[in-house]
Amino acid sequence: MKNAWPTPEEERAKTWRHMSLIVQIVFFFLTLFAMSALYGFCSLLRLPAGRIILVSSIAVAELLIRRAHFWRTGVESALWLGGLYSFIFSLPHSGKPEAFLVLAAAAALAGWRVRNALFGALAATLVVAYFEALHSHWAALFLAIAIALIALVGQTLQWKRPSTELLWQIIAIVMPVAGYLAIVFRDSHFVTDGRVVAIFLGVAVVFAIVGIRRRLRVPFVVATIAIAIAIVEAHDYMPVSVEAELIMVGAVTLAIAGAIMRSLRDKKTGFVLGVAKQSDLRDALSVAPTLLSVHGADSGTPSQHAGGGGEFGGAGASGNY
Amino acid sequence: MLVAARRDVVPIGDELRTLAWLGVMLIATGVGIVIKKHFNEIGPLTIALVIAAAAIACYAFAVWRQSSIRDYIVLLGALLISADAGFIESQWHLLGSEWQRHFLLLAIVHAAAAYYFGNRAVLSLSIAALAAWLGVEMNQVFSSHTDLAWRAFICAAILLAWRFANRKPEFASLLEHFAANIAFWGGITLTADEPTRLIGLLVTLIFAALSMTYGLRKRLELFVMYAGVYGLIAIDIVIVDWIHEPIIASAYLLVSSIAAIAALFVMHARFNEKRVADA
Repeated sequence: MKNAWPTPEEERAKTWRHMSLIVQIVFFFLTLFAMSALYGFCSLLRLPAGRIILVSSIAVAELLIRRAHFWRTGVESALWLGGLYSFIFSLPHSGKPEAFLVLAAAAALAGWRVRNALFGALAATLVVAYFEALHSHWAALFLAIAIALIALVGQTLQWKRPSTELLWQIIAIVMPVAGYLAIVFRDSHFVTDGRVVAIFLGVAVVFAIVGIRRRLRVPFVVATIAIAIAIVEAHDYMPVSVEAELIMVGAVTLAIAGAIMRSLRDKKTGFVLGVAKQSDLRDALSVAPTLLSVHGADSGTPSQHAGGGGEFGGAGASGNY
Repeated sequence: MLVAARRDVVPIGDELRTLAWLGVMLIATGVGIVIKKHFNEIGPLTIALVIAAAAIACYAFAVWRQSSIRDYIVLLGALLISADAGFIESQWHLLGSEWQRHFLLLAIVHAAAAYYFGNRAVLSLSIAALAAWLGVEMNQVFSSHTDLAWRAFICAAILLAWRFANRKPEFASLLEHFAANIAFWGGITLTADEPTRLIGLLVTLIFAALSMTYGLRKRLELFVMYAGVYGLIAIDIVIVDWIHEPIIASAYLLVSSIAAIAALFVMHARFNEKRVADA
């Protein structure tokens, strides 16, 4: 098993071949594209495409990991996940909900091999989806919250590998959303259920308390997500319209963020603001508003403007008149 | 596995900044829905005045008060101005048949605000407004199927000129990335169009060569990635169209993707070597 995984020290020091997140995403999708081409090629030749891709992609992935020390390049992850999924999708479909469990097992296996937290979270989400497909909506919700709580405990422990820490963090963030989606689609009417509101407020309180006491960042993120879900679910209790609700919640969110930032401004220990660094997140937040269209030009009255709309858009004023 | 020790210092600035940003996005979305749904009940003049007053209040707050959420208040002000300008133009047609020019106006106003407040998010709104103006305005100048590509090239050229005139270092990368991507989209659009396929390929490959040279010289790996990915897309479009035979085409796509991955890996290794040498 030597060379099968980097040691925890090597993983922390990133001594194996690795890429930045954006480059990983590029390589992940390029590899999936190459695998799709191979799948098409085998299918056209009437060869068993799923089996060929399963064997070849996992063999190549193992070769790259063990010989060339590929780790966090995007290629080995795509080969493992794509290989397993292309094999599963090539099998005859029965349409049974158990298919979710098979997909979850494949994601878990790929996630375990390449120690990818996103694949682990995908596996947990697919198990929740299985219960939702069985129409056991409450079971799906409680399972998601139970997994989130286990992940919370996982975050309070010290792990040798950063990938294990990341797995707990991602699962904790994803599970409340997965649980809510499982319960919210139980019927076609979007009616407030006080029990769901109470559950998510409870989740928010638990995560916030653990975050404060253990000085952890991610539980705060989860608490915020749980509060947001509770607010969305409590829509029937709100005496105002959705748009007024959005504006009010947005203003409160902005005010809370500002107040906390102000209170942390001169702090040197405990929770601190830290220095704003150039990061992928900062770049994404800079560019994302261009996707938001909040102009009034496409409001109810027919416009007298003639002519086509702009293919370009954004600036809060897209060209789609 | 041990119980983790409480850390002495836990930075949560990124989380709080994301929260503030989300607050702004929620407000802007809510305002967008109000404009769309309620302008008959509230009245267009009232809506226009209230949004304008809110935008002015945001900018005034940012000018007179040093706050940790200043950047987000400025962004909110900019989004409200965009919403108001679009609404006013749709209601009263102040620019008449030149209605598209309100995008240009927005581009200028947002650029001024971006430079005054040093705000990258507002600069990206300005660039998008410029692209929107070019997207609609130049329709009248170019009438062929390839006009979208030409408009993209013009937009990229303006952004490049802007980049050279720019004196704020933190804005340079944003202008460069927008210019590169818009130029490549133009090239790919030309390549996808049957009559201009070969010219599109040539243009995209020239852009790819420029992007790669720039990326290697400035040690910006993303520009090398742009060159590889956009170049691959253009070459694939042309060769798959030329092959016709699906089996050979899929075999070609497999080989070309693997070759592109290998080439990008070699480039990445070079970047790493340079980084190590610099260190």
